Amino acid sequence: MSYKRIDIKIDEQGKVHIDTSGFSGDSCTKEAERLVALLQQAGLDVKTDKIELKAEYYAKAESGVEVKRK
Amino acid sequence: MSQLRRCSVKIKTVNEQLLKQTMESIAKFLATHFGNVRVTDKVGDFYARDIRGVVTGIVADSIRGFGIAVQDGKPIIVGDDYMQELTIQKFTNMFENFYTATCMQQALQAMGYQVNATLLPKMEIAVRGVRGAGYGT
Repeated sequence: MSYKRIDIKIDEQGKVHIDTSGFSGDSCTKEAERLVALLQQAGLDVKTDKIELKAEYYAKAESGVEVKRK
Repeated sequence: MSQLRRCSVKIKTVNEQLLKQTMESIAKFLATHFGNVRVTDKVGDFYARDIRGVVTGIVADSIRGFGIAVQDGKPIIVGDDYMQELTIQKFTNMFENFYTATCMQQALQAMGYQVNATLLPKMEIAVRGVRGAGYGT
């Protein structure tokens, strides 16, 4: 994927769900934190309740594991 | 690497320009249900007296009006919802979600993303930001 995407959903309770895709390494975390910092500058009080790494992260990690057979 | 993050957001202080943008979006949304919804800086109480300190608000033929007054940078929702279909509680929730979405769009644009927002069922709002080689060309 050559482009990066941030999908945000604000649910009916006002909770904010941020979903990042297309980033490499921990740049998704840095990008999400940059977004949060800008929102705080804009006068919003933002508290992160939960962070989950997506399956595509684990898929990449697994593909890098060498399996040795005897 | 990609991640999902869930956050709780509260409005601490408001920016007047973003407030006005937010009210335009709310007026457009409410117009689909209530007809001729207008953005205004005058909102009346039950006796039709102007409520002081209103920065921006909305009125319609069937809505006496709700507005946002600002005190020490904090938003205060004002209006009279007696016998109104749209209650002050519903308007407050709508305002908080729309204002948060407006801030999100502005922040993503500042980060170099192309942004669009969509209103989903149940008053949920989706904001998408995309950037990178070849996107949108």
